[in-house]
Amino acid sequence: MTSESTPSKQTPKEAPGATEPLAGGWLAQVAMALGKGTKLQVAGVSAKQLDEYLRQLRGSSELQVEVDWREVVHETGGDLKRLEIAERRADENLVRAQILLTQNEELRGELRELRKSVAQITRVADQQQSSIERHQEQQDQLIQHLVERGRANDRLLDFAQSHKSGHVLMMEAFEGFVTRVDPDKVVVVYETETDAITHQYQKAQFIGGRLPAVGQRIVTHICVCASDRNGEDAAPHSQIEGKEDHGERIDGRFEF
Amino acid sequence: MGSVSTADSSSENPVDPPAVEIHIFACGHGDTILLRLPGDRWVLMDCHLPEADGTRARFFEFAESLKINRLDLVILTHPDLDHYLGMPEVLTHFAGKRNGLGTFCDSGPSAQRIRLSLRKSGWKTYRRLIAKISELHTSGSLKRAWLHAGSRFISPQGYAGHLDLVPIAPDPGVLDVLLDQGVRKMAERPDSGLDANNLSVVLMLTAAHDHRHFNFLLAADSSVEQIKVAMTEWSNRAKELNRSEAIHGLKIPHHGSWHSHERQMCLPDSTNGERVACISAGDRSGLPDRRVLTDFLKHGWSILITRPRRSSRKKLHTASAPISLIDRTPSRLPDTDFDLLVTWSAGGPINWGPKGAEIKTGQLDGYDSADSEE
Repeated sequence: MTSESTPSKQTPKEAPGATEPLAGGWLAQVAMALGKGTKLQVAGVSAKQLDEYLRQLRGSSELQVEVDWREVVHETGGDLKRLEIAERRADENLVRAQILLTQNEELRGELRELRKSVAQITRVADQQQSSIERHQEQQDQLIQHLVERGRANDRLLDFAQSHKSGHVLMMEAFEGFVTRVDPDKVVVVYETETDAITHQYQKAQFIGGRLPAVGQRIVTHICVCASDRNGEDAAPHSQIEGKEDHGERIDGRFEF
Repeated sequence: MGSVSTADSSSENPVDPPAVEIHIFACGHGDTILLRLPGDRWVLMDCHLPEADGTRARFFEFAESLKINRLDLVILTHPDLDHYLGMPEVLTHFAGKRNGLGTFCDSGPSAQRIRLSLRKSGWKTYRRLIAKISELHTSGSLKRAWLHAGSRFISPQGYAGHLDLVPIAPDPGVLDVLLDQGVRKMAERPDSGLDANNLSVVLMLTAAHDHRHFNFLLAADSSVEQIKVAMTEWSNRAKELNRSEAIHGLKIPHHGSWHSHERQMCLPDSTNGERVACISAGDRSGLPDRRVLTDFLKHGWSILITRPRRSSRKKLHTASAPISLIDRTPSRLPDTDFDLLVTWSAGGPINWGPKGAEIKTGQLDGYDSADSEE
C-alpha cells in the first residue's frame, strides 16, 4: 500500500496479516480509523493476501478500495512461492518449537531423577571409600606385621642354622624391668646375680611399635654362637642380607 | 662401612691424552659393557652372560683378545638378572689372576635390600653374587664401594677432571620409595616382581682434551622419569665441569624400549656433529622399538645394534624360506650378532663400528612398535 494512509510495501514478514492473516482483521481496523471515503491503494501483496484483505474489509463497505492489479500480478511470481515456503517453515518451526519444549520438559524431569541417583551413588561410593580406607589401614598393619615377622624368622633361621652347624656355644636369659620410656628410646635394667645391667633400646627396634610400659618385667634370651666367616654354613640367610657391609660410600670424587 | 673421597680439584695434565674405548659385547637381551680408559684401565659395566648358549665362554675369549688382565672397576647398574648373570663367574675368573680385580660398585644397601627382599627370578643368582663379592672383599681381592646422592665423579687415577664417569641418576628419593613399594608388593604377592629398572645407575662418561669434548651416556635400563632426572643433573654437572652438555653417544636405555625413551636424549645439539646410539638387544619382547629407532634416525643419529634384524616379514614371505622359519613374528628372527665399539681419542672424531651393526631408515621394516613390553 503506497498512499499516505497505508503502510507502504510491507513485506509479508513485516505485515501482521502476512504471518497471521486472520489475526483480528488489522486492515479493517486501519480503514475504520482513517474514516469514510479513505482510498486505499493496495500493492506488493499476493493475490491470496489480497483476497484475505478484501474479506476483512467486507464489513467496511464505505471504504473504497483501489487495487493496482499490475502489482498483484507481478507479485504472483517467485516472491509468492518464497512467501509460501517461508510461511510453511514458520509453521514447521512452531511445531518443532512445541516439540522441543515438550522434550525439554521431559529432559528436565529425567535430569532431576539422574541428580537424585547421582547423589545416592555418591553416598554409597563415599561409604565404600571409607570402608576401603579402613581395610587399607588394616592391610598396612598386617604388612608391617608380616615384615616384622619376617625379620624375626630370619633371626630364628640364623639360630637354627648356627645350631645345626654346631656353632651355638651358650644360651642364657636375663630378667629385668623397664625404667624409662622416652619418645625415641626405652631403658631396661637387667638383674644378674652379681650386678644390674642398664640397656637402651631404640623405639624402632620394637615390633609393631609396641612399647613396654615403665615397670613392666622383661626377659631377654641370648644365644652366643661362634662366628666363622670362611665357612659357607656360618653365613646364614640374614648374615648376607642383614650385614651392613657394602664397602665404602663414594663421597665426592672417587679415583680407581 | 666407611666412605671414600678425594679432592674435587682436577688432576694436573695427565701423562697421556684421554682416550676411550666403549665395547658393547653382544650378549642377547642384556647389557655387557667394557670401557677401556687411559692407563689401560678396564671397567665392566653390568654383564649378561648365559652359559648354555656359549655367550659366557665367548666373553672370556673376547676379554682375552683384548688382553684384559684386570677389571679395575665393576659396576652393577641395577639388580636385574640380565645385568648380573654370570657376574660371580667373571669375578672368580679375574680374582684368579694376580691383582685381577679393583673395586665393585653398585647403588648400595637400598638396592641390595630391595633385590634380596624380592623372590623374583634371579634372586638366587643375586645372593650368590653378593656372597661372592663379600667373600672376595673379605679376602682382600676386591674393594667395595657404593654410589649415592653425594657421589660426584669417578675417574681413573691421574685423569680427574679430564675423563670422568659422572653418576647422574637415580634420584636419591627413589630408592626408599621403591623399597617401600617392594616390601608391600612382596607381602601382597610373594612371587611378584618389582621393576628394578628405576634403580638403574645412570652414568655420563665425559672426557675433554684441547677444548674438545666427548660425552657418552650410559643409561642402563632407566625409565623415562629417571632419564629426565639424569638429564637435569647432567646439565648441572656439565656446568660444574665446564663441559658441553651435548651428548655425542649413548647406550640407549633398556634395549630400546619405548617406555625408556626420552626425546631429550636425541635432540640435535648446536655442534651438529656426528653422534652414535648403541643398542644391546636380543630377540625378546620386540625390542628395540621401531619408534625409538625412528626418533634417533630422524634426528640424525647413527644407530648400532648388537643384533640387527634384516629379515623382514615381507622378505620371508616372498622368499623360498622353509616353513619352519615363518614364525608368527618373523620380524624377530635374528641375523648375526655384533660386538659394538665406539672410540674417541685426544679430541679427535668419534669412530664406531662395525659397519654391519649399523641400521638405516630403510632397514626398519623388521622392527615392531611393541605396545606391551617386558
